[in-house]
Amino acid sequence: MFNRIALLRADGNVSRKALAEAVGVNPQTIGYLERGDYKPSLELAMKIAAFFGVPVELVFSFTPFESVTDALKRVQEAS
Amino acid sequence: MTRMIARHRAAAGILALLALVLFYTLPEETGDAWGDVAMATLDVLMLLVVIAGGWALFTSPYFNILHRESPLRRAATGITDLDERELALRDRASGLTYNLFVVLNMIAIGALALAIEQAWVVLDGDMLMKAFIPYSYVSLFLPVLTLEWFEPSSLWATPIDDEEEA
Repeated sequence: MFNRIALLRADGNVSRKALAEAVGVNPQTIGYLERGDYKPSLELAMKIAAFFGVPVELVFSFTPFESVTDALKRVQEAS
Repeated sequence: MTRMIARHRAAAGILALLALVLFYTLPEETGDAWGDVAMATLDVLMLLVVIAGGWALFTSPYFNILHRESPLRRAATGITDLDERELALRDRASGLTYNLFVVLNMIAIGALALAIEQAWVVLDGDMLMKAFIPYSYVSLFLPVLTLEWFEPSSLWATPIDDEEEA
């Protein structure tokens, strides 16, 4: 399971502690999620997605996410 | 990476535990053959092992979970302070600890029964007291070691605040 939690946190300037408090888990659990050492329950995954205001499939995926650099290059080439 | 750290830490913990038991039992068995300097060195080593073990024990996430678990409140109200990852970890560790206890006790009881039957040992109060202390070390460290196998302790892992700043 892959996720973009760290990326979304950095983008929104949200600390692990703030995210943890918002979704009701220990801050260490956010670290475990970001490293892929723990797979969240459906409830926790949806809470995290709701916190960032994005669909859950934009936060979690069975396949690796495209890197930000590649995505930006692709957008630039398309425009 | 964190799993590797956890395994290294568990191995270090097991070695510390074995050293502790060894340092405790060895001087009693062979005390006459040890010089004063050797005995003093052994005492210092034993003290270091106890300090290291105690530090590992009390900085372990297991104690963090135990501290926040509030067992009495959970039993009375069903409310827990732990999140889903910590609950899964606690359940896994307690299950593994139970299994380890069962296996170790079965082996120990079987070995003791065999030894008594073969008249290798005579069971008396002194022997029970002598065996109880090393066993109590195992009892104390076993839950922590089983958990440390899965999750690195705060002793080795990077604190969450440092990761935030990095």
